[in-house]
Amino acid sequence: MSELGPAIWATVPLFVIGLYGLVARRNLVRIMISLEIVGAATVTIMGAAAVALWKSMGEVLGLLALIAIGIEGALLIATATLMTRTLGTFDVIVFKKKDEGGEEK
Amino acid sequence: MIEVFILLMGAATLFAAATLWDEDLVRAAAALVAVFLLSGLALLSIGAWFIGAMQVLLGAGAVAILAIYAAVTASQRREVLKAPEAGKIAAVTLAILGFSIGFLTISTPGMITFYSSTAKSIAKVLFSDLGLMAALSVLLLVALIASAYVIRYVSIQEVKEHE
Repeated sequence: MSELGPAIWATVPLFVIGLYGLVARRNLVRIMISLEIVGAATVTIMGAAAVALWKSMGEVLGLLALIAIGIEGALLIATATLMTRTLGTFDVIVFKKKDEGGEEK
Repeated sequence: MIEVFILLMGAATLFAAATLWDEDLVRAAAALVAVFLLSGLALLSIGAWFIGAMQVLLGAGAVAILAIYAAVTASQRREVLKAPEAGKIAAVTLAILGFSIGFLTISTPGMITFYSSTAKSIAKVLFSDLGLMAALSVLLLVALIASAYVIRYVSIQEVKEHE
């Protein structure tokens, strides 16, 4: 077991819940929230790594990851707002079917 | 210190589960604020105050508020979820698993340190060791803004054609 053991084990459930939401939900806002949860877990692990190894590299990489997930969150929210204004729904399956010109089941 | 970290992360796991299994989208987005706050506080509790503060400022203060905005302006706030009870049970199980394995592995030697972030060392890593990566991240930001502009342009064209 590495020095990061407790921190990683305490963060893994958060990561798993985020991954589950990413693959199991159809609502674009929920998918975005799941992505942010995965990001929060990743940043937390990097911060814990910085503490365990006494190096600032983990914190800096965590900061860059935080900025990246902030940008992708903003883009997804913009897309979701556009979706709900044009289609009236956040459902990605409906969005895909409308895009393909098919009928919604 | 690490005990506080594990407790806060367990609570963050419960709120993360609430974002997935709460039918109300606004409450789910509000739970995301709690997830960022608790994980930021967990980092503060082990001494990584810089990234912890950034997590609270950027995550809870910006990204999660955007999610709340999208949820509030949505036409359908409530969502019909399949088997919500099973989801809640799975969430509680995961949180307990995180608590228990975290506390069981706590006796690992060398984990408890008195680390504290220093702005000097962070600036050294960011601007000298990782200078190229910082420059690339700015490039990525420019590319993302450009792609958002293109998406907006295409969408406006499609909406006009639809009307």
